[in-house]
Amino acid sequence: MTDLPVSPVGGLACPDQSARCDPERIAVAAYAPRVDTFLMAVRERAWRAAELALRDRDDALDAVQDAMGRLVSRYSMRPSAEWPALFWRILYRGIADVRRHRAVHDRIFARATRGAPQGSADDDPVWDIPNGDPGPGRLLESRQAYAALCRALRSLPRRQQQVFVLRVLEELDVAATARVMRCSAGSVKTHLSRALSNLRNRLGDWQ
Amino acid sequence: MNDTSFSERRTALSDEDIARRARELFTSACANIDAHDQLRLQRASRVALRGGTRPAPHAAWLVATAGVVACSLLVVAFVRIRGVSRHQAIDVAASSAPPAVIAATALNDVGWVTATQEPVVMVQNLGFYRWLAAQPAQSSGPSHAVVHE
Repeated sequence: MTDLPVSPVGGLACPDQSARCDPERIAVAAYAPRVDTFLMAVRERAWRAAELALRDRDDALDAVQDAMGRLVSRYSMRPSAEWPALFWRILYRGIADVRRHRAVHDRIFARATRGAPQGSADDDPVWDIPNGDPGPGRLLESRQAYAALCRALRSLPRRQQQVFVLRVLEELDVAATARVMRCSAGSVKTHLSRALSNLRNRLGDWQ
Repeated sequence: MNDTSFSERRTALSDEDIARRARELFTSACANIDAHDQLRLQRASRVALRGGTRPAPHAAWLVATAGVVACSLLVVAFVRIRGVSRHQAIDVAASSAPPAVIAATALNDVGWVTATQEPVVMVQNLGFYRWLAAQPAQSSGPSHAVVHE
């Protein structure tokens, strides 16, 4: 990929300019760096959101990888302004698939460990080594606050959790959130209002 | 009353406070992913950009089910083909046999087709009944005459 020349549109051009170069491949390659940039910007946040929803790092990673692959293979030709909504829609569909698969698995094998409604201390997301060291006290405080936020978010209904992630954490607008959730803008506002109200009740004096 | 409502307003979290604090914490958590998970994410995005997708979790079940169905169909087809070939072999053997054997086979078939054993016995005794029918009443007449004399 590094030895390919840059095309006028900012992407990669065909290296040998011969007839073997498929125009579709050239077009995909032209979009590739921008898709790459988008994925680099969104992958950590997507992984955290998937981990929040699935409570499992490996399942979250699989869901994010699937979503990235589908976005690249199917929607990389779309305008880049549509990518966030498309990506999050694909990701939440993948998360729903994993949840459905788990439900069937639990029904068959009578495993109730993963589907516990209340998160335990083991389910808390791991807060790792910080980049800029803010000090152990501050770090611990932030970690506990994030764990409390995750517990409160996981206790919300699925749609409220989803709308909070999309509207508040990802800062998508109402229209894009409605496209991701496949509902109306009014429903997005209603879900968000209920989510904030529930979080306020659950978090109490959370700071 | 006004002081109480003011203090409640100060202690209660507003929607903006919750959103702002949650956003800060989420951003920090995303920035502080450990090296192992960071590498896995980078590898996942590279795989995605190369066009590779992870097989769906239920694909294994679908493949296994399709395999079982295919094996069952093969077994059924094998049994049916063997049955047909055996019938064909019997027919070929019967057609290449001498006429006597063919007649015996036909008789056997008739005997197999007939429901009871009695008609077969009648066929076997047909010669006796023909002889009996050919005998006139002479043989029985003189004996009666002798008795009357």
